[in-house]
Amino acid sequence: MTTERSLIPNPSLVAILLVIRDPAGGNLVFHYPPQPRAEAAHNTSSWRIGETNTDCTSSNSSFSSSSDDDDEADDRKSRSTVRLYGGGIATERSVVTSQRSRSYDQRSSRRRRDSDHEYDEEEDDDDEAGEAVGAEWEHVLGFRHDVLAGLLSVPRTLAKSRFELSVDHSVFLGYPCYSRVDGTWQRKKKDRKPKSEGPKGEEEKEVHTSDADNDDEDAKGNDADDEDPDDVALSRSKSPNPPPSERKKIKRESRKVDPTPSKLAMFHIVFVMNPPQLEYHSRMRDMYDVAKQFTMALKTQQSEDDYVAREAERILEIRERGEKRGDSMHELWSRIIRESTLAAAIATLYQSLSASKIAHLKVNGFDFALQIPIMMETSMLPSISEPQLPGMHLTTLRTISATPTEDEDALMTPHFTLLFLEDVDDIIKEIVLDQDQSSLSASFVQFIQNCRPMVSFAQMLSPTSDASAPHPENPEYQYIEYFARHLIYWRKARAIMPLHYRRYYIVSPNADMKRLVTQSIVFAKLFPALPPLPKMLSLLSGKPRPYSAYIPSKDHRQAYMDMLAWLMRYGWVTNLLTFAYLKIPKDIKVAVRERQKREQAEAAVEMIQAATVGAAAAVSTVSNNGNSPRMMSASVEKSIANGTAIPNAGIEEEPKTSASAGGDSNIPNSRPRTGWSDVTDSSATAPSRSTNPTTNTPGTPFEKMESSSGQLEDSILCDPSRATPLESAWIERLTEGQPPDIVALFDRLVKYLDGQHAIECIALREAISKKELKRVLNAMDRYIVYARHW
Amino acid sequence: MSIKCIFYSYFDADKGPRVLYQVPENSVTPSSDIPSQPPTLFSFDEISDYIIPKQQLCDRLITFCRNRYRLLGYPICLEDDKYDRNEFIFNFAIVLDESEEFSSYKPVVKKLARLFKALEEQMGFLWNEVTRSSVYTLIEQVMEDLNSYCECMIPINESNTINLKLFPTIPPPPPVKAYHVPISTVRFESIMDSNWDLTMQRIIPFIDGVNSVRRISELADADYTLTKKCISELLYYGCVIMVDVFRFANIYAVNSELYNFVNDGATTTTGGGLQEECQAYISSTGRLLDFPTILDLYTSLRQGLTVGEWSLENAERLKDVDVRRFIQFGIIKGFLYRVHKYPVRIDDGTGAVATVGAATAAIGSSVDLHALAIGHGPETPGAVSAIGGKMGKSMTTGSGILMADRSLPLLRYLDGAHHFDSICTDLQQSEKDVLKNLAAYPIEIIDR
Repeated sequence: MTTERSLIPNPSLVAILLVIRDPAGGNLVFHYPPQPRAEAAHNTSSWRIGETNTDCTSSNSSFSSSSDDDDEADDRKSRSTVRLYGGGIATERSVVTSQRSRSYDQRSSRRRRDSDHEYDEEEDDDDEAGEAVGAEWEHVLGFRHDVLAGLLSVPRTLAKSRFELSVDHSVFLGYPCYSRVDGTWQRKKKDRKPKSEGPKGEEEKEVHTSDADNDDEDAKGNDADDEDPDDVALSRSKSPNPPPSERKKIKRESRKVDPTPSKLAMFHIVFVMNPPQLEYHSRMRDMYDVAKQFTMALKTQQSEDDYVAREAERILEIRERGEKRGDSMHELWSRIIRESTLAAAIATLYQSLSASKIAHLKVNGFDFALQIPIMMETSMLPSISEPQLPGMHLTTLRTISATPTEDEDALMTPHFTLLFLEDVDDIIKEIVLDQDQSSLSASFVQFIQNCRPMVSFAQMLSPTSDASAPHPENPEYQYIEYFARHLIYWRKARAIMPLHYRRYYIVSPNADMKRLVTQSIVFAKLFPALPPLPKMLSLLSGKPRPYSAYIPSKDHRQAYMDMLAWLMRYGWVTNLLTFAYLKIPKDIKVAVRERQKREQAEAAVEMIQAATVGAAAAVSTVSNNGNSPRMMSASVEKSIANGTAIPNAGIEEEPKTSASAGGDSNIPNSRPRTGWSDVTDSSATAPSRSTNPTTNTPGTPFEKMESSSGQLEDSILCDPSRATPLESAWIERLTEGQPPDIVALFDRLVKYLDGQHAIECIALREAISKKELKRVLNAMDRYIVYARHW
Repeated sequence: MSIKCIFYSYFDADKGPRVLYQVPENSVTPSSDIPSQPPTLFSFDEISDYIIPKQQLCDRLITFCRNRYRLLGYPICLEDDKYDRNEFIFNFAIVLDESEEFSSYKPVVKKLARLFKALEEQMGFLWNEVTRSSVYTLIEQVMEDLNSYCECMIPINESNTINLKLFPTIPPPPPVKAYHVPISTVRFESIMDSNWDLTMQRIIPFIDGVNSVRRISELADADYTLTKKCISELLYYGCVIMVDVFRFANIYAVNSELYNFVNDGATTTTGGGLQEECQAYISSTGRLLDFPTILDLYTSLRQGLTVGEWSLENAERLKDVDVRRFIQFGIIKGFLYRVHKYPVRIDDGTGAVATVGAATAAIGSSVDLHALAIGHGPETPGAVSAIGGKMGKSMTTGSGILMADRSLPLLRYLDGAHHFDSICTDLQQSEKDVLKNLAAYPIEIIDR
């Protein structure tokens, strides 16, 4: 059974551990949270049926366990999605988090207040769990400290590969890193070549070297699944440009380090998880990506200036002092997190990941972000027996995502725009707070300010002409795309088709009705002059009409468009798009068949004549220069192309061989034929040639036509872009009698009539005017079936 | 899905962790004949720590990934004077592909370990060299049978047999609601026997694709909760699928899955089957509609148009069509979705949603209710009336609120989170009656 990737985020993270190995042996240095629960609260217990009824007896136990908490599970699901997919509450919360993560940035020594506050929250419930102060940390996850350390400080042979160990329900996932055999962590000389002095060069070098390092060792190791760490994500800090000052600092430090062997032999960041069994593989894969990226970032820092070793030492020191003093675990852990940047990073990472948020981390001055990407939109509406995703935006448009993917339609990209999922002012405030005022960050802010849900990227660049797309190499446009992807990565925005009052919007079948009460209050505050939310949704409920139909006057337009953006943001409405299928009516097929019959009959007659001549020629004289076979085979091919339309590869194959044989016999006179082979060759193919055109080639289509003649009926042509010759003939026939410009345009557009391309996108994609498009579609209306969905 | 290897390993007092038997040979340790050849899957020595672990980790299911293989083991530790160092640690490990769904193997590994533990305790099966020698044949047989038949039954002696079976893990069924309509996918009469659950036997005759879960429990005179559980069970095993209650007042529209329906016929040369299935399923007279007509009919279903209105518009084309089956086919195949109607009670003053009942705190709602009943806005701090009982039927504030009393159970459904199907099945009223009872309140109806 395959495990499907679930759309509902469930990090299944129990704890993150830091294990090292030094001359004293393996040691579990730090773990977070302080008292992890083996069973994470967010795990769906109902998935555990497989576990309970496993003992090979019967599946009867599923009877009770599966149905008991149905409603509860349902609630839980919807709750978690409410929390995650936008909404007033979610917005506030994410602002709080981003403030938090900022505090880590400017941390150095000033992070006392924030972190204290945070850990108070975190540990309140933990304290209830264990009162036995002192030896609290002697047991982690039900294991003795030293057992766990022994288990996870893996031998060198297992380093540089995926580490996945499960003991009962806890899964330990990581990517153990060992020092070089000589005890140093530095990269080889060849990797250290200073490439350039500028900040740009530094970044490249960072990425480049870690990759090289990685590849180098992977080649030695036996792990094949080592993909490169995602450098895009690694270098993606909160704002598009990490301040140059910091990079220089890193560089200076790295220069100073002398390549003495480190005491640290190995470090291993272990992610403890308990994924639901049915989602096991996808959850582990997601987390492994994060685990490896985090480890690689730490490894880079370790090789720079022994960072991990220093931090580990510091943590152990604090623990020792704390143990002597008899501190409570609570006190000790908050001190560790305050004083060790690595511990703080682990804590942040845990908190962000388990809340399905983005972790903004800074280790040793290196600024990066990690996350398990979440789905922002879906094209499929869950049926009543599938997990519901209320509030998630519905669309089939392949808009742009955080990183360029093959799935994207490069021609369409400039015609999308961003829909901000938070208040624009808040986003800007965050950026301003986050960064020094450099020029890039200024243009970033400017982009955010200029970005409107009604205006596409292309229109942003050239507001006057709305149809022409910017050249993809246009530097200004590249910035726009870069900024847009950045904002999408940080979940601040979603790419949409620009809103327009002439388009159709319906109440999204995926709208989260449970939030209607609270959102109607918010809505009333935001748009006091407009009809209330339930009224608006009720208006949008009827037969689909262009949005302009709901706007009372032109003066109201802006307010109504703002409201529409709000409704889109929270998934209340979705854009109703039009898709077209090409219908081939019976009369077209009959007409094409008639014509083909005629042509085939003519061709057949011609071919019989040609073939007899050809065969005679081929057989009769060995030294014949073979002119006639060549002509013959050409005519065979012509007749094929003309629309005998045999969708049978085997038949098409025949004439081709004969054609090559014909070519063979076409060797110039001057070269005397020498061997048997030529003769036998041509004589062997000759009979097939002569029989082929008469019986086989024209025979099959005739038969086919005849046999299916009774059931020649209207049909839908699914994929006009890959039409068979017969289908092409039908399509050609459709436009007969139309003016030539319509015919030309239709030929261009027919590939979109496959039910997968929104009509709304065609004009933009093909850079033709909407009027032209309408004219063609109207002219061909009889042959098009329209379907409307998102 | 198949087992790549099963091996038996134990802790040797002199040599450390050792693999004694492996099927097939040379999988995890080099065979003795050609020691130079590396094992085919991975090297046991590298990971022996996780197969023969410390005593604290015994009696637990341990899995480990190596070289794109996943090992499942259940190390057992026995203590007895007769063993060297007074303890005997062994493990029967199963090796699978790493990407394989392995949950069904977990209980198998555990059971195998416990069985050999029992054998060892009873008669020293593994310690005794004579009996031990049969282990290779046993694990070979287990591997072969599980790979071929997903189960095995191998007698060892009078009192012990290896009985194993792989059970697939099936996701839990979605929650069953009162307004869901189950449609059977199997012939119940052919698979049901007298040993089946009594409620199950009672309700099955009423599963006909028309009755809702609530209605089934009424018709079968069965307890509603039990009915729900039974249907949930049927859903779990895929014996039924769920659709909505069909009525001509319903609204349906196509969704993004439509493409798959249309494309089905084209992808396979034999004609897909889905479209033919549809033609046959929806026909009421035996005359089949051509596919473009069917597609045209489906795409003409849209938001704001009831099935009744749609049938009138297309009466001519629908004369050979069973409209209920036409709609159900789209729902079952997933390219049609039901547009539900949600009645929402509006607060006259603000226009926001007026809340009542379960969604909000009991006190707040009763204030609101009371205020509504006596004709004031919700701001009026009316006397607090308690709502007793789940359906909120008893209002204790006295006179003049009879009307509110009758519509009371209704009002708590009007927060936008309940559609008419749910309200009507819960209250067992028709949509018309519900609307009539609501006539006194400002209502907006949202189609979603």
